Amino acid sequence: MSRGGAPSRARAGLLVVLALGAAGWASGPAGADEPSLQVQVDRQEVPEGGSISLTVTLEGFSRQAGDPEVPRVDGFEIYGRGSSTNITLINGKLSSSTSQSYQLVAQRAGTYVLPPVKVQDKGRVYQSEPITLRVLPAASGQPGRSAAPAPGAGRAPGAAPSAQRSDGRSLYAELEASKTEVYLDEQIVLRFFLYQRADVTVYELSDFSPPATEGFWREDLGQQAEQRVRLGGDLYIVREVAWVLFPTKTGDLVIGPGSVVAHVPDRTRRGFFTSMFDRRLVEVATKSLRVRVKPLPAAGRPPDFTGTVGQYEISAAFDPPQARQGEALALTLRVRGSGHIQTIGAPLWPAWEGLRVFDSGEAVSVNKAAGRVEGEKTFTQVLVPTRSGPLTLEPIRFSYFDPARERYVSLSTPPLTLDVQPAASGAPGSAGSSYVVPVGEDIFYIRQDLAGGLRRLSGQGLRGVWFVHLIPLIAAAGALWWHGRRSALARDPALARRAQGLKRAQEKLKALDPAAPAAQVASAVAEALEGFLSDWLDAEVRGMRRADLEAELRAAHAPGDLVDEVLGQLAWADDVRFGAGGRGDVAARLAGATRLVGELDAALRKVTTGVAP
Amino acid sequence: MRTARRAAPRGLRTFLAAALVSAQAGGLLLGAVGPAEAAPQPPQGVVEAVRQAEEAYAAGRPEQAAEIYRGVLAAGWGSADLYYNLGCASFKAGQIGWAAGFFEEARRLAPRDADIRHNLRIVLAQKRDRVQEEGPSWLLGLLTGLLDSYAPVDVVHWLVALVWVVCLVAGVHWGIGGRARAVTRRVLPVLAVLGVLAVAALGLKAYQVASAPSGVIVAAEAQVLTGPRVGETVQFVLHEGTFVHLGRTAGAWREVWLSEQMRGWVPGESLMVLHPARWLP
Repeated sequence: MSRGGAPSRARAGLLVVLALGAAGWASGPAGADEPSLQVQVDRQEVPEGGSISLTVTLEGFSRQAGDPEVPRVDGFEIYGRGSSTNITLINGKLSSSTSQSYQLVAQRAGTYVLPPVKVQDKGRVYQSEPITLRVLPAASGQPGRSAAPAPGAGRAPGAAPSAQRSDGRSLYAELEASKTEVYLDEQIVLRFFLYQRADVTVYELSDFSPPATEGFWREDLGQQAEQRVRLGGDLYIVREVAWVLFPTKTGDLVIGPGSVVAHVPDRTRRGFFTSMFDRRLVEVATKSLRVRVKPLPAAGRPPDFTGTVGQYEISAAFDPPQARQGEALALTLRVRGSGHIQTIGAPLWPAWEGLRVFDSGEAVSVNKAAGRVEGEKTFTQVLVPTRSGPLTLEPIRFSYFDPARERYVSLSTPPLTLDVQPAASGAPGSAGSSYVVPVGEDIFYIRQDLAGGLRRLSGQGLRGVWFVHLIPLIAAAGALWWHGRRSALARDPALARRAQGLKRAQEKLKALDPAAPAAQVASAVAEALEGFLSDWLDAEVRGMRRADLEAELRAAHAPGDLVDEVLGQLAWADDVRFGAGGRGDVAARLAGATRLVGELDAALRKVTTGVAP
Repeated sequence: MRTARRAAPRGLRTFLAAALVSAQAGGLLLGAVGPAEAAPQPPQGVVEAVRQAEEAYAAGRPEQAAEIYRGVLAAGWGSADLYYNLGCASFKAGQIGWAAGFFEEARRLAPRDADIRHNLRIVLAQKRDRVQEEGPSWLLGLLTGLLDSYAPVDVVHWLVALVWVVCLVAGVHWGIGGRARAVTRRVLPVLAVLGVLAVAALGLKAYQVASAPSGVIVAAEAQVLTGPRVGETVQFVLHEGTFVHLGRTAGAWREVWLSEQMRGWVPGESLMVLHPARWLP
């Protein structure tokens, strides 16, 4: 298999699909039962000078079908704006649709009928239904969109600009405010228009600088649909960007200017090679606007007014609608309307009897689709009925200032009624208990009389008694040593005898009275020496021949002088006990024997290898 | 022939065991609570200063109270309660950064004190900077979280106490033997496990202490520069109450860092340096 096998197959598959598609396209829509002609307008009412978008969609027509014939309609000028084709292949079924767009610019007020749009295909004529269009007088101030602007908001974005004259300029920009004298926090629509005469070429627009709006809260409405308007006999393409402004301070405020850079052909470079790359940049700027912001009137201000400006309506609802004693439910007040939704002030809640009330917050929902700021703000209170039975709550009042009517408006909900069911058995509230809820948070208070607990910061630590903690370690090590010694002695009886040999011999000698008869002393000395040597040599020495004993001692590496002394002591004892030897200095002999076992024990320990006893 | 058992008199063994138990009991007490006689009481001047600070705070003069409490600290006297009061006074005086630092000092000395934790939470809720720190793995985080309620000195106490107990049991096991050994033979493995846990706790605590911030921003706004001199590029800006890790020192400048990428230098006066953890009682 070649390395390019898979891609080749993929290409081949693609070609098959394209071939099938082309065949289907050439032969008309596969399976398309009936061609469809749709004519749509984005609005049916438009002010004088405004425009209507007309879209003609052809679906299921053959390639031989002619262009749609859009008839002239009195009172409008019609401009083509382009077409688009959409081809889809779903489950092997090909379908195509073509859309053509037109713009109808209203010339004169009146009611007009757009005659049917016709399309011919394969000798057959298809046509749409007629559409009635209404052009409103420009002076009426009616918007070009179905959604009416807020009172005082002037023309909605997307509506035709109010300019009626162009002064012959080919490319210029203007700022337009819906009102230039407003109340504090009243909604204004600010529109930036760029007028381009239809015969003027603009390659590109860049570096848009929105107008400065210091002193206003600004909400973006974005770029609006492009329009065509006739001004002073010339047709203009109008581009628009719009905002909603809310003044945040009173006085004379300045808006703008705004500007944009247009890339236009450079007419100074004429010649054979002149192209679209020969362009120059023209900054198109507006003039500034001055807006006078008036304070809200003091007269007639309701006591519950909290600064809300606009046009609103209110409603209130419980959730859940049924209440039970001791159980929480939510009461939501909705303030819905047009204005600065974010700054709608909370109502002054009445003091309701039979309820514990907890503030549960607020939520904002803003909609700018209609070319102005509208929406709703909800205020929620959590209520806990403290008693059962019917409850009628005092209505909630809400006041705002309506700048269109230039007066304060007070709204009130209807009386709110609740039928509170008795508390469930054992539930909070059933026995007069109450929830404790935090109403504020702060740090706890300082501690008093803390002087007694103060400590020297630099003197912290064990203060020199750290060695106390060595005691358990040393003690445990000692116990371990003790345990090891006992174990070793238990394992090795010879070692145990050796360990105790000196002690036993010394005890025996110490118990002797030097003034005792010589035979008794000699017997004890011999017994002590022989016992000591038996323990050390792990062999019975009594009865051993002295020559053998000497050999044993020398084999045990006992020093020669001590061996001689041992043999001398034993010979003296034998003489005293069995022979005719004189008594001699018994006390010296006894002391000598005591010293001898000590020295012998030390000497033998030195030469002993292995575990020292 | 004599046996080895006769070589170890019962009287000596009893004496040794009794001495061991007595020494261990006394040592355990010392290790657990420390030598009471070694804690001197503060002089009268310090006691009077603390009283004046309490009066100033109660009279709504938190700045003055904070000043007096700082004086007590400067005199070398302190406690978790003093840091707590200093945090309260600083907070009421509007010094969020200092308050956060002092409450953190108090928390490190008394980590299970609910009031300190509450106040620290209140203060930290008011700081501007929200720092995204890369935490440890969930297991390590769980374990260090468990240890968060204990100061390093607490863990040292556990270990010391455990050493005493182990030595006591070992002393009984090896020094006395007999029937007691049947009991100690069962206890010693348990103690061995506890010992492993205590050593692990000590290691985790050491990790926790090493990874804890060692400073807090006390200036309202501190520009973190790329180098320790005026004119270096400002990398980011920190605000009072933000805990930072401290690095090198260069003159009056201090290196701070929040993460591997977020590090730089700030003037020393914009920082409160927290005391290192105390490991000994």
